[in-house]
Amino acid sequence: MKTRVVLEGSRAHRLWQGAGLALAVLVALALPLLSSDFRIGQFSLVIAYAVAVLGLNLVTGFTGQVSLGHGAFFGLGAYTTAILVTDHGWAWAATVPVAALLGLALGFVVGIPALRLHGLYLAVITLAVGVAFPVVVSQPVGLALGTGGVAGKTVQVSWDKPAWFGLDVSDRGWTFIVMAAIAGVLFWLATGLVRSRMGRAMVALRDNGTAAAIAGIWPAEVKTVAFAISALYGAVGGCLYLLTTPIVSPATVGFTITLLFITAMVLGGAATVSGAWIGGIAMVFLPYYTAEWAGQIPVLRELTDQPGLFANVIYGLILIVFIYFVPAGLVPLLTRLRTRFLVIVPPEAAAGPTPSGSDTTPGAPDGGLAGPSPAIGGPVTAAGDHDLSHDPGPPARAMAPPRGSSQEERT
Amino acid sequence: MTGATAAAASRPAADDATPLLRVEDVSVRFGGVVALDGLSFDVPRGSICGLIGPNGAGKTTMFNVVSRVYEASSGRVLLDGQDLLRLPAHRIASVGVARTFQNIALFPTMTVLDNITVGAHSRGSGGWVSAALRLGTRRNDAAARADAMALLDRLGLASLALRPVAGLPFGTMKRIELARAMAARPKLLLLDEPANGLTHSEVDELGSVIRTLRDDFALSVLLVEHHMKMVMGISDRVTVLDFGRRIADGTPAQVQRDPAVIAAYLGGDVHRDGDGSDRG
Repeated sequence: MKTRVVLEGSRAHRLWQGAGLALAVLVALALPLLSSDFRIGQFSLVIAYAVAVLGLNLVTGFTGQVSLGHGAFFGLGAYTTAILVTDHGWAWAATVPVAALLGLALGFVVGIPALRLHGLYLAVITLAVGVAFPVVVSQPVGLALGTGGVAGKTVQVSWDKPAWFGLDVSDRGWTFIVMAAIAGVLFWLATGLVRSRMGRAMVALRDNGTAAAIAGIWPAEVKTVAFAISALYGAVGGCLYLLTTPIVSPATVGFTITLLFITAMVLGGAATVSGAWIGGIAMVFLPYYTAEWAGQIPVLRELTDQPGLFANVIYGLILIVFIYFVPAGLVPLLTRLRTRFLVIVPPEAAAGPTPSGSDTTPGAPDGGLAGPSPAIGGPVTAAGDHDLSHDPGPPARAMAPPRGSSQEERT
Repeated sequence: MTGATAAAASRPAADDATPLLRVEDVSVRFGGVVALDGLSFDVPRGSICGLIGPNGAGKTTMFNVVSRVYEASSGRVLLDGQDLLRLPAHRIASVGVARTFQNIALFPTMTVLDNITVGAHSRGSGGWVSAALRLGTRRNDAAARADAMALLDRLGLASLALRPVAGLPFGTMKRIELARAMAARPKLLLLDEPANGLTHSEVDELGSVIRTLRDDFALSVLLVEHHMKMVMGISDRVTVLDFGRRIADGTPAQVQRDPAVIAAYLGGDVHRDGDGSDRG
């Protein structure tokens, strides 16, 4: 099959994007139509987890800052909503901005040690936050705030499907659709972020901190903001969680869920946005099915009358096999497969060889886009045949004079 | 100045214009080791200045002081009269200093093109909120990418634009670093051993690239390099360091004749004050 090269922002690219969006909307509407309320509950949980995992992707996957405290951000959001709804009679929607801002603030504070600490040391600090949170909410301090202590905080949020909504879905299905819409916005924002100048700054900081600083990136800003945004997503994930589960307890937001977030991030692909969906799906369905499978393995049934106990072993085995074969995560693998037939290229990078006016060109327009390129294989060929000193470059792309003309970017 | 030699005294009179970069009495100590000892020199506007010296003389330390990777113990580094030592590292690019690294310091998971656009970070606009909401980012990004592509084109790297950096040949990566530094549109470009690892013909080519860039972008270049033919070929001035001190300063021809320089390189026993024996 020939590789299609699509220019970013072109009509063809927009068509592909539109098709993807339409498919996503279709899935979000079809799932509640076709599934039982139990399944819809599971899918709703996928959404809540995916949003939280996305936060972890941003700070750990993209920015390279280890965070072992993500369960605390998730818990902060869940408890904020639970307390405001149950004790103060707020509407769920009104609690979300409050939880988001609290998450932002806590994330910013947790990000401050990241200015000085790296790797394991940073991990230990964030671990402390993650471990301390469930303890704090079960202690008198937490009780005074209304956390309900060890037993947890119950909360009743139930929505009736509004009359104007035409599709024949249950109330649970309606909740799912609202959650999907919220998640859609959050994922859209994150995608914009990682593709932007600041997103590149995040990755640059992860790849080489010194070089990033020399290029003008302020490491302190990027690290703390990345932590803050990550915590915001974690907290909103916690708010969404309460739409699927009527209780939040210290056990829910303990260190276990932090570890599950991390495995979910790795399964989907750490430095990806859409990988968080894979992670959310894995968090909900993998334990569910491993428990089911464990009960069906004949040998186990003879060994013990509680084969479900082996669910975690199977879960672990699946993870090990997966990490061994797909270490970068599922989304990077899918992306690599996609680039075999569809490559999306910024128009500037293809400007020369691509005839203007056409949105797509069959085959790679120049070496280096897709497939093996003779210009790269050999040793030191990058210097190649170009005579640098006399190469004026195509006039359209001729270099701007030193200072000044590049200023248009600033204004 | 301590340790001044006859050659240092014979440096040509200062230009009419003030120098772009003025290094004044900079010292750097790592514990008990004195890496730079009261070093002073100028980089005149629009010139290419070579900084040479035996291994361990303090050349890269000097670079790291100017680009604020290392903290100087004392002294001033003035760029157009502004003391760089009062700025944090991430502000250096915006006042007009860019550098390359002796050992490659690219962003390996990013494409070549993205590496260059990161180099233009200090000239870009758009913060977190506008990024997430995509406010004006499309136009800004397009401009940054077009500019980066022009640079890549010029350095013969355009065909590699969408490749990830990891796995490219060493010489190519050096060139990408040069493009990334140029993307910041610096007034002062610091090149740390750009010819290291290049073949003979590539070194010649690199020399002319540096000169053309200097001419076209009104650059001043400070060059650390062991490749003598190249340094002497393209530099307007050469400063020679040994044991963290300036032992000579002048045109390439003057420096090459300087007995202190010959001694430093060939190990002769020309008198040197405070000669240390702890050279690594």
